[in-house]
Amino acid sequence: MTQDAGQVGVYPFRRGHSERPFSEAPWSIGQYTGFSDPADTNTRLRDLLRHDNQSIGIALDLPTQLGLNPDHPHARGEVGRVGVSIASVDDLEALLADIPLDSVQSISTTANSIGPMMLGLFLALSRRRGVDPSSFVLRLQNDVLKEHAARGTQIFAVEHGVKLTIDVIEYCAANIPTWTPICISGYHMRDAGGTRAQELGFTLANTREYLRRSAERGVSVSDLAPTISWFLSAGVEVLHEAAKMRAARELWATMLHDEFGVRTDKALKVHLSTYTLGGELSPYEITNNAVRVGLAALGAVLGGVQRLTCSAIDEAIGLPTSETALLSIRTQQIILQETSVGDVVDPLGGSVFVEGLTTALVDEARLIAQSVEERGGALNAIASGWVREQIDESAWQSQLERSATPRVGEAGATADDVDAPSANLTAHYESERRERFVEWKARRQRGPLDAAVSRLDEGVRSNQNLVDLMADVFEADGTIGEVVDVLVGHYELAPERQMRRAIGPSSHLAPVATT
Amino acid sequence: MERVLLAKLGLDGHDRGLRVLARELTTRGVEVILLGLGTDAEVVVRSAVAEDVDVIAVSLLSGSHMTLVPDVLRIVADEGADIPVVCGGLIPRADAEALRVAGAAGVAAVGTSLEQAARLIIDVAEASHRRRSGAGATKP
Repeated sequence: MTQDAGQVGVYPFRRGHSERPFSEAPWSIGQYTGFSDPADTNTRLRDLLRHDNQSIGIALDLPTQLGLNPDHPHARGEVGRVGVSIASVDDLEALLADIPLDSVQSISTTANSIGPMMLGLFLALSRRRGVDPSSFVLRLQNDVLKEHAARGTQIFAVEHGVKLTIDVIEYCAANIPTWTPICISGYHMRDAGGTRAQELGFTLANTREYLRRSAERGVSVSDLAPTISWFLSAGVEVLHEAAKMRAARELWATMLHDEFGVRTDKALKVHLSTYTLGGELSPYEITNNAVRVGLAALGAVLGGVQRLTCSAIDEAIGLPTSETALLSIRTQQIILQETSVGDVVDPLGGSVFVEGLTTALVDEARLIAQSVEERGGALNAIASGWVREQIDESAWQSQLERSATPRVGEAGATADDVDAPSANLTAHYESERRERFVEWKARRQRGPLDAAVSRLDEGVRSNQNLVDLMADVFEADGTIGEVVDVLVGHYELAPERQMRRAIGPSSHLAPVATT
Repeated sequence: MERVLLAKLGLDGHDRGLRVLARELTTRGVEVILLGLGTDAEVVVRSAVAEDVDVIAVSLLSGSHMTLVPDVLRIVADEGADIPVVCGGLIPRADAEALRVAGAAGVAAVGTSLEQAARLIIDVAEASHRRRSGAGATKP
């Protein structure tokens, strides 16, 4: 049985953006990696690039994401753990050594609260390498609203965080419109327990907030829209997830058309960047996760996404190995080259079941976005805690379902059934990184750096766009931590960051360098 | 009624598990003080002492547990606080054993279900509550 579902390549694009199938124009295959030292990650990156990986995604460690240098007392125990430690242009140079920036499709990072700092670092790196920034493609996540709602790396109060996000958007729109200044992310709200409809609805509401604020700065929404991505999760429920991607296209197109007056097709087609959902992976019998990731990837492909990254099957128990990292790429290559699913656009279009799911998701997501609007928009709805309450309630419901219906291989399993992780950081990594960093800092010339920091401080006072001023600080060997410290002097911190700042470094702990 | 302090220790922002656990414990009749994100050992122990809790339970998914959990244990000892410490999260079994040896009253290693984690915390909290309210006192 079939149902009329509109045409491929025609507004509102539920059935896809273009009549060209993936077999002619493949989706972009991403890979997310990063750990310990810039040099270690560089080795892994170059290894992955040898296997026809087309673009790289850099995982940053938590101190970096929170604007803390590796020698900050609050970085203790966290340096290089969940990603690579980056503080300066020298670090970025080491991370990307022997990788010409224009040799990869794109470079992406999980810089959110430090979005403008990461942009500034890449500008400084371009100047240092003598390359035109427009010769390569940088993709910044740069979405602080979802940090406050679900992901947890907010530094500043949401109003100030959003100011910085919009600085990046404004800067890129004016200077480097080929870069992606923001990937508005539903993924993390889903991984925090939200439903598919909440993932879409809150992403829609956050998009509305960012577009309005960008327009207030004079940025053309029609010019900006084609440079933005949505970042969504891909779970294992193949048909539901494919329907979600179809609904996402329709939601974006109709909102931009109806509310922002956008009329160009290019701007009405959302770029869907996707990542298989980490929360779907089991710590038990981890080989089973290869099947889960494969099915999640299939759902995303059937849904017609522009970009896909696959989880490593062992990430539920520790840091991925080079073998499991390669499997993430191979999974996509197998789907692309061996399954023929990419020979046709929107193969599920017209299925009564999938069209019904798609319509239901569109309707429910619009209602959720409307509820956000009634609470004063995304910024207010998030700052008040309402969005997180909604996600928490869904997380509780899904926990009840999971307890009643365990996944395959999980019934009766305990921590004793979990394999030991095969990859691990060396115990001395953090102290080595810290010592090298402290030595490096001491070797810097203070004059140019102090001058650049003063100009940044003045820029913050006069509420300027801070991107170029930050790039100047980085070019003078300033660090992310030093830039954040300037802002901390003027901006309100997020409530989550106030407790420790109030107490200061612990008097109970031995100096960190002796660890 | 047992009182439990729940916190994310360190910089990790993944608090879905902790928030679900808070609700699970509450439905089982435990009083929960949810400290949330952005804490360190000092903040956690000071808060636990101020709130007079029966157990400190910290969650870490960032791999920093071998540094930060011993920090908590050390400060509890320094303060002379009679509060047991339980931790959970992305903690491999070998590390879980090392943390128990270091003095953790319980470790919910990776692969521990919500029900098991809640049970572990309640068991430790009940024993602590009995001890702290004086020998012979009975559980309410």
